[in-house]
Amino acid sequence: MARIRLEDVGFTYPGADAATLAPLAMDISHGEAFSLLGASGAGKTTLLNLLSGILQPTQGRIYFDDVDVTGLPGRERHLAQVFQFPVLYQSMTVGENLAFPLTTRGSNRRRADIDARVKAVAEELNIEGILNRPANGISLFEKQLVAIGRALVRADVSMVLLDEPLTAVEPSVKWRLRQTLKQAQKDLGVTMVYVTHDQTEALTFAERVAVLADGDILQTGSPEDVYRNPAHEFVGHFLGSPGMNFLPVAELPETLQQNVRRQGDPERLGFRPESAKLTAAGTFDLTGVVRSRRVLGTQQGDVISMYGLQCGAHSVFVRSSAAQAVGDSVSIDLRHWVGFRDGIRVGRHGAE
Amino acid sequence: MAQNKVKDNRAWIGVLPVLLIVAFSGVIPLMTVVNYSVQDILDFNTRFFVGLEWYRETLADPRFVDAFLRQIGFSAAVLLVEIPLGIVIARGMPTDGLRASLLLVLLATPLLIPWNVVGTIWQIYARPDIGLLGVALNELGIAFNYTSEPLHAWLTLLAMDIWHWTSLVALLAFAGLTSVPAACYQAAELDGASKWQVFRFVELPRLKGVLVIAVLLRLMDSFMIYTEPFVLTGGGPGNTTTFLSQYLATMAVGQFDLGPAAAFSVIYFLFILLFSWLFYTSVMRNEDES
Repeated sequence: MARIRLEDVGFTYPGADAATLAPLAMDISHGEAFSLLGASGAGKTTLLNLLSGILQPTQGRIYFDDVDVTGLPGRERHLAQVFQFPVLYQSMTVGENLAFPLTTRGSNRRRADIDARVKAVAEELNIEGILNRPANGISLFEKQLVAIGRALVRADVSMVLLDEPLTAVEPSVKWRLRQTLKQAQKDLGVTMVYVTHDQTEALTFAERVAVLADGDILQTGSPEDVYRNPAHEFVGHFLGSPGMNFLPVAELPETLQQNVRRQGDPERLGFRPESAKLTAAGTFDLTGVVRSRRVLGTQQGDVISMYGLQCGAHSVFVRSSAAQAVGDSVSIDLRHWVGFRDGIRVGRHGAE
Repeated sequence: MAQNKVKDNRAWIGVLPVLLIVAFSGVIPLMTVVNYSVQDILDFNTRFFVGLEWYRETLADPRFVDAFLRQIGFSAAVLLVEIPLGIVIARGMPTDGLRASLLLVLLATPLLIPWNVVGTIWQIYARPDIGLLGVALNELGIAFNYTSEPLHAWLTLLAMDIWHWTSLVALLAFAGLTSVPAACYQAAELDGASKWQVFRFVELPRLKGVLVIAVLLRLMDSFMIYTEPFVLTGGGPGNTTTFLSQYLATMAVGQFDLGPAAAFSVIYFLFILLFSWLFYTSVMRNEDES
């Protein structure tokens, strides 16, 4: 286990005009569940490869526990990786796969120690029953579990990199794998870096999330914080489904506009679909006309719907238990909002 | 019911072309040979049924046994060199870029040369009086003469076959290697696997399929080799490089001993079949166990 620190790490592919990764800093604490979230092309894979030693940064240094590992090849960084699809040694049994990282590097571990460690990891992941099965004779779900097990088996591993590990797994068992992974992370206290483009996975897995776009980290914080108080318009837009609503401050009603301007004079106002309250037309912050309604389900007996609203020239989404029909005029009461100027958060407001 | 039956029968017409093709290309020629192998044919009108006489005679024929052992030795030597060498070449190949393309073309070149031309090339190349290789070896103080020294004849034959066919193994192995996902190498690297372990546990299991094909192709081909030794050594010196097919050709079209030659052919055919089957099933059984 280690603390992972990146100082001014940047990467430019040879011959490329622009940097794939802007010089960025990152600090992952010892034993933390950390998530790197970004759309494809954001530089996730490049950052991952820099961490695992496939690529060398063109600038900056990488430290594992204050040891400079920048120039070290992957095998000397003592890390483990779980890939998008299960990578197993297909000619070995499940047990041999789990034991393999313990038998390499001229290690002189005792057979009994290896067996004990394999057994412990297998128990953690609930795969004791298949230890003697050939690795190519188990289900995809089990294969990925074994691959995770192989990453966890070495007690001296500095961190475990997870590269979209749920991609190949069927949706029906994704949550189980995620649960197991999260549990193992907690039980073993391993530093884990989970790279994904799936916000649900990132936000549910991690203690802290870093949102990556265009080769730069836009925001790092707790899932809650990143979701509620995006530091950047992109983060607000990228997280959530649908993402944050944005309205130009200049087009807001006078009272609201004055309130908003007091918080750092933003150009644009962003609010989450669930941080607004719908009521029949009244004197609240914003007014709009219902354009669409999609019932999401019920919550404590209330029917929750996603409303598409027309607010002046803009359309916004509001999640609400109010019962409004298409064509109704409604008022929108903003409970929580974030103000942006030039895409950067300058102010925010709201309880909850 | 009745209607179904009629339909079923008519469906057989669809199979007829395949039946005809298989019959004329495989079954009938083979059965003709089997038919010959149980008869003593003096001329086309005078033939006697002799049962398994020719089989007994062939198997007891020391020249057959010798040629058979030579054949096994040759195939074994060829496989032992070509398969590992092909893998080594494939692993050393660059995976993309101009260099890879050039190397692939270069590798494929020996495969495009007609077999008797290959024989002729090596026949001239190894000649101790005018051949580049032969003269060079003699200049180095090695009294090399493949026309008089059985060992030299063998080495020349092996060198020729390796030159001709290692490319095939290399190309197959190369194709197999390109299908190994990069993540597998990366995982092995992070697991701290040695170079040998990477080959043994990452590459070899994924090469198995193509290597089985490579071994089968080289086994069958080398077991039936005819043209190249015929051109290069003509089976000599003495009978030291006379392989099965050459001995068979002498019997069948040289002496017109149709009966014994037919029995010989059937035995020959069954051996190739047996070897291929043994190899394939043993490899595939291991597959299930592992």
